[in-house]
Amino acid sequence: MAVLFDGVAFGLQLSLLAVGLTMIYGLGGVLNLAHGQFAAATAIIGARLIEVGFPVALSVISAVAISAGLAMAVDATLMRPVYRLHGEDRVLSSLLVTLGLAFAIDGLLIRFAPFTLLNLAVPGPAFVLLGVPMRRGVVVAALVAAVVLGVLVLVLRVSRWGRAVRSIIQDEEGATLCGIDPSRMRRSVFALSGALAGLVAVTQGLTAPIGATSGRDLTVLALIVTVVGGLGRVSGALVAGVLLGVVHAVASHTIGAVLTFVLLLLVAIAVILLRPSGIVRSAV
Amino acid sequence: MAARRSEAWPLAVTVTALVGLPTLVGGSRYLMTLAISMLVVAGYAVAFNLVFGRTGQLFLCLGALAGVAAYGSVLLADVAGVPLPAAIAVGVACSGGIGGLFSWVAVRRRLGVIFLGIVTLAFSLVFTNLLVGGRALTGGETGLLVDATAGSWLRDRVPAYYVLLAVLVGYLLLDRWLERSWLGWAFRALKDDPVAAELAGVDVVRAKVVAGALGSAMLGLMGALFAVHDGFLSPTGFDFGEIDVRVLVVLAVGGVGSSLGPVVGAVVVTAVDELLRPLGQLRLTVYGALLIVVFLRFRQGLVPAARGLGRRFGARRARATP
Amino acid sequence: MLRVDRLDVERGGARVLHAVDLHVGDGEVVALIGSNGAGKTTLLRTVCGLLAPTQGEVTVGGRSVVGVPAFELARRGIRYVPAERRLFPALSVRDNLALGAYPARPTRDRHELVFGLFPRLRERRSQVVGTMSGGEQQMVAIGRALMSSPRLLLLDEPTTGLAPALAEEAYAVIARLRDAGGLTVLLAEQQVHLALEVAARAYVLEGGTVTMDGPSGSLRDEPGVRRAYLGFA
Repeated sequence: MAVLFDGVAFGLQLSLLAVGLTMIYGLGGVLNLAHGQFAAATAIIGARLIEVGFPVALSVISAVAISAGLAMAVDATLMRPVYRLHGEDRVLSSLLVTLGLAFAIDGLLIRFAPFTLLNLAVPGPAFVLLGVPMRRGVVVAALVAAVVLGVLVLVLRVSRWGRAVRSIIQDEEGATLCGIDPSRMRRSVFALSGALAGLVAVTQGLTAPIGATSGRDLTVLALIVTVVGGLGRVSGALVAGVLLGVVHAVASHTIGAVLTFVLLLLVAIAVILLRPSGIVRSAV
Repeated sequence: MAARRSEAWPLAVTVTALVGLPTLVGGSRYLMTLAISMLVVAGYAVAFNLVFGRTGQLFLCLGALAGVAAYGSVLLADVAGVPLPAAIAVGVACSGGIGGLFSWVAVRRRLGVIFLGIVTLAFSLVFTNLLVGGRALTGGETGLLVDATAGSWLRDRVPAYYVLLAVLVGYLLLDRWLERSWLGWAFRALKDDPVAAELAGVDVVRAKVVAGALGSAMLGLMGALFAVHDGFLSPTGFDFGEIDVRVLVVLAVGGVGSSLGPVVGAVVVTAVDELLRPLGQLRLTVYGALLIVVFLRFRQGLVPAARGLGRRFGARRARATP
Repeated sequence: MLRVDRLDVERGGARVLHAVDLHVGDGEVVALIGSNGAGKTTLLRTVCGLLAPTQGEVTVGGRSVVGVPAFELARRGIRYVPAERRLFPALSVRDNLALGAYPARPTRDRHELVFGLFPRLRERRSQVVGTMSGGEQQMVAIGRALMSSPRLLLLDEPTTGLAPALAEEAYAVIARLRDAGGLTVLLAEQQVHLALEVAARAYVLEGGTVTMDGPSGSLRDEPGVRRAYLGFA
């Protein structure tokens, strides 16, 4: 039971991480291999702001906002030549360019903040949930992730912006014919995905300290969840995140961390080979 | 056609320079070590060029494919007592088999560049994690000492350099020979338009699988030979961030699809890498930036771009002095 | 309303349209007829901004549309309904229609207008569009374009994939729109007899140039048109 709770809590964060990645793919046909690096950058920026003496809440919010701005800047600069290409060429160049970006960010973070950690540990006794004691930080992280995901789903369903996003994912030309500017929507979604990645740094920081080297693992995790959920499918990312979170918790409990990571990777490979459109049966 | 013929001379010059290199720097252990790692990277790059540059298959598991052969042959030789040449042959065959399997599955399941990239990246991470996890056999993160070549001439830098150089030249000759065979024709057709190529009777499956398997075997041979020369194996030596990124940068600098490009790229990148050593982790940033700039600005790589620039310059000069 | 002057359009290096002149007056319904590959779709896609001309001018209401992005033209009330419809299959009828009003909020009046024209859409407003029949999808496509109170409606083969009875029905709606007034329509159609019934005038496009034009009545009696498009020997 405790393992299950831990899995769901971690899974919600995985969903949060993957949902931004999958939306960018759905909207622009590009993959961002620097997604986890946005989270790592947020962690470092947040930690530094706290070090300098800013209040924790303000530091964290500013860091997330900076991550969103950074993502927006990437979309406006590096991704522009990428969007000029189409189909396979576009995916391929987005892959290589964001891989370069990922290493560029990694290098900067590891060079200038090798020992900085974002630690938002919540003090106090453990919550008891259905007889299971849960660390406060884990519960708060899970709640934050759940609330943000809920709001996101709601906004996507009912707002005009959300409808426009979903329309581009389904048919970009059709959306254009309705007066929707795909490149502007892409930019807003890129910024959103940067903010969501930053938020994952915060929720991770609530459960365990997170530092400069976490970017690569987070990118890979996001990629696994995105692929398992189906590239470009928001609902897929949500379901796959929670599912893989539980798998992760159960597996780490029984076979250890290294083999758990291997298992998740194998699941991703299996999904690509057997159900390349993802495990969820729906169009978006 | 003209472009390929014009590559023969620069290629010959480069190879001659590489043959002469030890007479200049053979006395320096430091420089010879560098020269050897340069040859290995060049070999990896030529192999990757065959897979990615010629047939557009994005393998993001170059380090892992080299590692399969390296670990495979060393373990076979040291643990199972298989004679070293046979062990290397088996290891290389494993790498080739895995690469060919990737290609075959990708074509069969019609995986796009993105899915093949993710599957191979996942394989790469699985491999590294298994190396770390399989401590009993692989020595885990601390690595593994190679007993089979202890005290042999392969451990000496100059002979090992020539062995690796011979392999590299072999790769280059193989690459040129392939370009002229039916495969070269198939590669060019595939690159122009895969659908039209298929309709025109190009055996797409065979062309891609041959390229994937051959390229992977080449990666494996380079990896295994370097391992037995170096006498030491560790997961970081075959890590995605260590090998794949470097090869991508080499290919970006040297140019995708040309024969000489990977070699020139390897020379340049090895030199730059040494110059940047004082930067420490910032080298990653430089590599990242280099990847971005090169792929955005010069889609075919720096060597072809520079050649194009030179040609334009030459043309302008010719016009200026009628 | 719409004026096309000496228009040249190339696609993939080949010239598809050459020196096309055409105009559509305010409130007029004009048909564009011609066989497959004559360049009808290319013309409509150029007018709505999805394609750029190599030469010539296109103005709507006196303002040039050349070089203006398609989404901007859609906001200015130039609405293109492509033959392949380009709907959002996973969204409901209501959401598809609402997107037609973007970036404005969809008003009840507009919904009512569309449901008045297509009562069947009212019944099925919550249904996901991807599960609907071709005829119903065509209704959604036209309805979506009408949600924005367009000035110029560009209809591309509205009868594609429809059974004859449904095609007649679609044209009955177009006739009602015409009679309600205020809407300017340029209509590309291969089913020439239907198009000529609803349009006041028509242009015949052949091999990328206008070969004939005039009032529908006189074109109907033109021997060339009768032979090529109306099935008379």
